[in-house]
Amino acid sequence: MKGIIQKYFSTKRLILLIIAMAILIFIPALENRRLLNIAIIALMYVTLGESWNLLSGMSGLFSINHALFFGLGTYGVTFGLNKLGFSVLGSILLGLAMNLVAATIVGYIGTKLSGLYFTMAFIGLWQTVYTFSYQFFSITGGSLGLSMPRELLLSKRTLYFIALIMAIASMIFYQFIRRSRLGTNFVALKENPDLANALGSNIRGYRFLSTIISACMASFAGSFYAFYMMTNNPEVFSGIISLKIIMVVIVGGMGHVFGPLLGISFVIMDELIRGMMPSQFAPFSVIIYGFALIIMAMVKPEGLISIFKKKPKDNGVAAKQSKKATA
Amino acid sequence: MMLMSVENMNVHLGGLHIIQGVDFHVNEGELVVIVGANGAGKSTTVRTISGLNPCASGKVMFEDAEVTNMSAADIAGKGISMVPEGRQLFPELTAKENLLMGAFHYRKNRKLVQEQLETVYNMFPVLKKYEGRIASTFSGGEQQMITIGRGLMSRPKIMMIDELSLGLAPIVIESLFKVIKELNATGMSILLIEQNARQALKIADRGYVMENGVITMEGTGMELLNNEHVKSAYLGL
Amino acid sequence: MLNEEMQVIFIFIERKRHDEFFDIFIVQGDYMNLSAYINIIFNGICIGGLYGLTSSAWSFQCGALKFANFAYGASLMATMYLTYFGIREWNIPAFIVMPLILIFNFGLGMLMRKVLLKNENRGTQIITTMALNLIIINLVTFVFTGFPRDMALLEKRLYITETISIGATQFTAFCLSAVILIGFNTFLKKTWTGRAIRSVVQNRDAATLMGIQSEKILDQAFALSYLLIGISGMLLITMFQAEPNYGNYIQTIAFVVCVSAGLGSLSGAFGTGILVGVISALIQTLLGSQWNDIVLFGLFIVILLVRPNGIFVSKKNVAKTF
Repeated sequence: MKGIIQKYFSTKRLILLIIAMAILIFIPALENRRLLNIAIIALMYVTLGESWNLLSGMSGLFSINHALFFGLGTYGVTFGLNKLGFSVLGSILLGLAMNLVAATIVGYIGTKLSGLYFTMAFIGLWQTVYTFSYQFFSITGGSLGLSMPRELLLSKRTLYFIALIMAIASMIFYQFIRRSRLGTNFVALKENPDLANALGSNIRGYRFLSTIISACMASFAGSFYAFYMMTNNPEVFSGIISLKIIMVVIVGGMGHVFGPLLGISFVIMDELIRGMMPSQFAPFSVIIYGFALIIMAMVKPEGLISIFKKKPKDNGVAAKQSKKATA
Repeated sequence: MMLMSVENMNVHLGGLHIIQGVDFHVNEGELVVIVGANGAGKSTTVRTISGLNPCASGKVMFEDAEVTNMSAADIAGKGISMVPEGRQLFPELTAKENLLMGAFHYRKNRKLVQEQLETVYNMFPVLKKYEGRIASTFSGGEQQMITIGRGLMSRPKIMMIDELSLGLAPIVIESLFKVIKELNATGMSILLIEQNARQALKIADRGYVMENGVITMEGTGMELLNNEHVKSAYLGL
Repeated sequence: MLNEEMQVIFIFIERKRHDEFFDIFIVQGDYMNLSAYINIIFNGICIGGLYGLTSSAWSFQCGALKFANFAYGASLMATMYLTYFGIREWNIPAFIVMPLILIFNFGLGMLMRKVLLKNENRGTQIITTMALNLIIINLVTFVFTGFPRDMALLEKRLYITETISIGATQFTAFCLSAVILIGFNTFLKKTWTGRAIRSVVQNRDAATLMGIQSEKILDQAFALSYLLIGISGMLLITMFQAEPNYGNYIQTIAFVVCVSAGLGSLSGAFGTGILVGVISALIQTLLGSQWNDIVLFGLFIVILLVRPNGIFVSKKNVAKTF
């Protein structure tokens, strides 16, 4: 058992993780409602961030409307419980099923064609689902959305722990995939697709798989959100959520398991500010975040995590190479 | 009279010191050849002269003026034309459009452009015949004709031709070398970069041998053809 | 959360957004006759021509210049808003507003190219332009409010026969789109700058050797394509109403049109634009406007799976890159 843990997390990380967990477990004890809400949202974004991290950070496919997967998870639960009379589990599975369909469509296109077409198909799908949820009032409840049955209201504390478990699970899952054969293939795929392909790596398959897995993770987050909000509306697909997901990963650090963990500092800041500002300023905050993302993506694409990363060792390879040329 | 000279050129590429102190020159009206194996640094040298790579140190002189590290666009305007390695056409443009692009830096002078186009067509009649065809549909040899023609269109004082013979059938190579020789006979100074040492040295006035980023030999075409080292290393004899 | 007023607005948007004026062709409670069909198709052709112009700019930016610009829809939408406000709210005469809009778009394109699109990494371009998309949408919402804006131009109809007519605005838009596209195409084919643009796009190093300043040419080409966006936006506001999310909708239409035509083909974009316009018109009248997005997207997926290089384009390995 210890060997497995050592394999996936170095000792230093493990200690940090335990400390973090200790802090996190004590948060509900503080009885501060606002803090709890912020923490829940932040943890949810960890899950979403890892989901995006998996897709974009590892396989190089950029999903700019990731809220699509998230929203389908939410709608799956509310629709299943509200309109179809499914059980809780059934509704979550419904959300998953819808996400599988969506992920299959865009994933298949992403494997057959380039990342550009993937993005275009993704936007098209998002646009369709978004307008569908507004216009087909009878199915989706239009702009008002659907609400969850009252009996399923969970206490904030329960929700918090679910979010916490989900976040931890997503990080473990991400790290597991990253260190596994699958993950190495993913990274190879991103860094040198031609070489990876030549070496026999099944790029198409892995790309497809990463889309599916990413969608499922986001789906769970979405389903959770349904229980948290007890209602949903088409805004669950909004670009703002997608933007925040991307911010979490890019600000924190793409391709690294703790990236989203650093990135949620941004989400926490956002929640704090939003609590203080009147609602007219909501679009204004999005503008700021947009600029922040642009600056971050262009100036420091490795994200905040690069501060903690060790510099790669210079073992004299470069010097050796130049010596060889002059010989 | 010396038209172009390179003095102590040093070029770094990808962290490696590729060209290490290279000297050579081309006199007016000469056909100079640089031969060497794959990876010797020949292409890098001409690309640097053209302004596509930065020159770390050393000088490139053209008509007694320094042109080192000038922008590629300016160097083209000075009268140095390069026919790049691998027949770098504009694949979706027609043959005629490809040729016209060579005249870009004096495009305002319509009459001159037309005149130069006629000259090129006289040299390569097949291009005139199919001037409306898309460049990528031509054969390898014809594509090479297009690039040479395009290089000519810029009304150069010196043409640098990189790897003329790469990937072409022997009979095509022979006819192309004939064209180059004829071009040189009209007074055009030519710097020819070639792996195909035998054919190149046969038509050359002078030649250099480049190995691992340095010039190792210099002489007339005949001298190099008869040199023992050249014969064993590059002529397969 | 949403209150009742907002609910009313959303319903209002739902109905008008996908051009209500197709309703006038439906004969009261009866089946549709031939004239009605012809009218719808003519309307679809005219609007489709405008779709073609709108999509051609994307086709050029993405297919020819190889820039992933996902702030495309938002730029269109911003143009629409600015035109509306210039003419209707600030009462600036049209002939002053129009060149101002064009200058604005040119500047925006130049700015985008120099700041965002300098980095050739496509992933970064996708993310940054997407962020810009959201910025523009929210900026517009913040400044102009999210209330949909309609130019409400008086609808004049040109009668070909007693029952068959075309809207004057639509027809003008169609003709203008065709003229501009032909003009742009000619510019690319026959002028030196146009040839320079095509050369740079096809082989940047070779173009530099010819004495062309490749980076500057790309800047100019991109800014030029933004002029197309400007004209499209001005034409769009005459027919459709502007609301912050309209940009996303028209962007998706551009995707469908461009992929069907083959990325980079301008004349193809016009043709497929017309096709999409007609299909869209028919869907909305026959099935109802809610099905518009779904059917179009369905077709989009089918085309992506079957003929990603364009419906009429031969199978070149254009799209198959990693």
